[in-house]
Amino acid sequence: VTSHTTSQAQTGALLDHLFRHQSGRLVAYLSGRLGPAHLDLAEEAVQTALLRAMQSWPVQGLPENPEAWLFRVAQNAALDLVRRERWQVGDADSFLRNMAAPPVACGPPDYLADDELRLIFLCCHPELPAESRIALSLKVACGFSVAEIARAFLADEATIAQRIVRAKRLIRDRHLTLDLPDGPALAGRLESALEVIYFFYNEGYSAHGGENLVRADLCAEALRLVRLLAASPVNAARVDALAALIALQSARLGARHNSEGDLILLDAQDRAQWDQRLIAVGFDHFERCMKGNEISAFHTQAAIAATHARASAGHTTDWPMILALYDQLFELDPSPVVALNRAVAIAKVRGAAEALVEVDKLEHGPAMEHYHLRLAVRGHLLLELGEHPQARSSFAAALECPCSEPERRFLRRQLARCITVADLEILFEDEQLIVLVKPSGMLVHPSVRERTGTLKELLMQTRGEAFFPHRLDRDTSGLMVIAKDALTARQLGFQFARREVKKVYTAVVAGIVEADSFLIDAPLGREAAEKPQWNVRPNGKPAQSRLHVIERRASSTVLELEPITGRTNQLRIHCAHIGHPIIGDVWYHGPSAPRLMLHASQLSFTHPISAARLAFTSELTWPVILPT
Amino acid sequence: MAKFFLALYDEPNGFAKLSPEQMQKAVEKYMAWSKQSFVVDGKRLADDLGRVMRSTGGKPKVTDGPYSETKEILGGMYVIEAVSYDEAVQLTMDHPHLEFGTIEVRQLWGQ
Repeated sequence: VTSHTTSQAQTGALLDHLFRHQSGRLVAYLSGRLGPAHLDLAEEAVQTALLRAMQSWPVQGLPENPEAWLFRVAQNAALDLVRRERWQVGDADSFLRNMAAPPVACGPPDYLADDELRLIFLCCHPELPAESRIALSLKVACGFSVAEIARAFLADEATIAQRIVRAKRLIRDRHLTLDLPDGPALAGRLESALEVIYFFYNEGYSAHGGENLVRADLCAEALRLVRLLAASPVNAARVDALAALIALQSARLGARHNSEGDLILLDAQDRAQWDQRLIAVGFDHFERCMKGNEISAFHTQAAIAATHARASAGHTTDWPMILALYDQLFELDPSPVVALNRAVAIAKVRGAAEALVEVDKLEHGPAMEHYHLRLAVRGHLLLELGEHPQARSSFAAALECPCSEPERRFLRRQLARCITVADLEILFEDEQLIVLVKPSGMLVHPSVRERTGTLKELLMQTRGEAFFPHRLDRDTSGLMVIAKDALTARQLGFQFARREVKKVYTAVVAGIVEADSFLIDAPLGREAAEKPQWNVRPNGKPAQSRLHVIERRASSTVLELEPITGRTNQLRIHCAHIGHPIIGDVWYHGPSAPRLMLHASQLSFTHPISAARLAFTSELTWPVILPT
Repeated sequence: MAKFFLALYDEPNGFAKLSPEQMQKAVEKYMAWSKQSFVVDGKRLADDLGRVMRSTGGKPKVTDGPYSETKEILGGMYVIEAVSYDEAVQLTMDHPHLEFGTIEVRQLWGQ
């Protein structure tokens, strides 16, 4: 058995976000020398440098100083472009001279010495249309792709691309210089600059794709930028309001996902995990922003964030206050996203039925149609109202929209909560016990965080009592035996403890497992500071699983797994340990998939009353929670 | 162990739409892949379209690329070790290039 080191462990030589940080800086530098009319050229040169890096670093290895490498290549690319565009000889000469000269003082005030902030203010030129300013800043200064910007604006890519092109054309045609004015003229650019920072933050707060729920680096950078501004002479009350909003929201980032990277809603968050330092920073800015008479949308949003921060527990949140603030915000900014958030507050204050009416009013807006959060909120309200089939189709529709992997997992679990007893596959039932197939995504037992939508709840509703002599992980599907009385549960529990119950799992793992069958013997331990916490550790507790190959496919292997010990995540960790993580087990480096491909497929035990040996089998299905 | 030649084709402008962050992610993935033990060699071809030389019966004719009507051009190559085509394909299955372009896998003669 060979074990591959994961690809993640092999990278890491590259600085975090080197490309994004450098691209803004390089565009600023080059456009300062090429002149504002040639912002396009500057961007193209930087793009070329990044492409070259992308093509040569993987084969040639990382250069000694990647930043200097990018700088040199971008500068050469700019020169090439200047020549290719057949600039007048004089132009090219002056460009060359400029290149040699030390960075020109194009008059940025000291407090705008920060490259990124300066470029944002440069792009927020008052002669450009407001929407173009923001799109241009996000693309040029913040290094976002057109697709990312389009999503942030709930607009299509062509529209955004056009706004950027228009901005560049205006800069060229009107000979706008990208110099920075000082004083009041600079303050005129503040509005757009704040919006740029706000979008920047939002992109980080709800990453729209990929493995991470949040892009903490973007949030941190937005906070850094807004605090720089708040400390500068251009400060206005709404800068403090935005700083308060960003700091207070950032304080909750760590609590928005659990140790497995899954989404946790505000109500269920562990408030001890909120960052008290950031909350203090937030309240500090909040107090300052409330001193003037100004009221902006940022003020109201900061007030909402402050109301959440003041509540010591989810249930002590002052929802009527939050609803009043959303009413106020909706007057300042009657956008569908605000209306959706307001509907959530309505549900808390006046109930799900009224909130649903509000959410359904939104459906006419085209941008909202494929907005996963609208569908998720709708599903949640329907579930609360007991409309399971409708809730199910709402969550299923949300899953069709673009969103991050953790959000996707969350939605699949919401979908599992729409399952009713009638949907469950029951293989055996008598006076004492039930044998059924648990769907993937369904929680067996209520937890502190989730009290409803569990298998126990479903069975309690129809059978009165349900006792669980064993459990299955939420994302694992398959056979379970459930006792209808305490005595049966105890008897079955003994059988499990004495290992008289035969449990076999079917799993589909990544890659081809070569040996036909073998024993995995690797101790498992928990390390609170590590991610994942549970893993193979030399000082862990002994753990063994038996493995047997059923079928080898093109790029995966179907296995039968028999846990000899029963430790947390044992089968998942053991499969990952031999270099063949279970498909769908992203947490242990498996490829992502619509479900975890792990299924309790065989179960046999002795009936406590009849003493008959009962044996059940069930097949792993793909890619299923339930048909919708 | 046999040696296999991987030819990586891409659309020259295929990467232009990526944001700097996405490009960096791609670089990291390519680098991680090429560091694996079965990778024997890797080379990136220069960015131009190169030259094509062809027999014309007399003096060979030299033209600039592109060589065909396809939009994809050969951009780089790797040599990897594997026991069979199946394994070579298996090892290449998670190559990040497959998000962007085509990989042709050929066994080297006599290896």
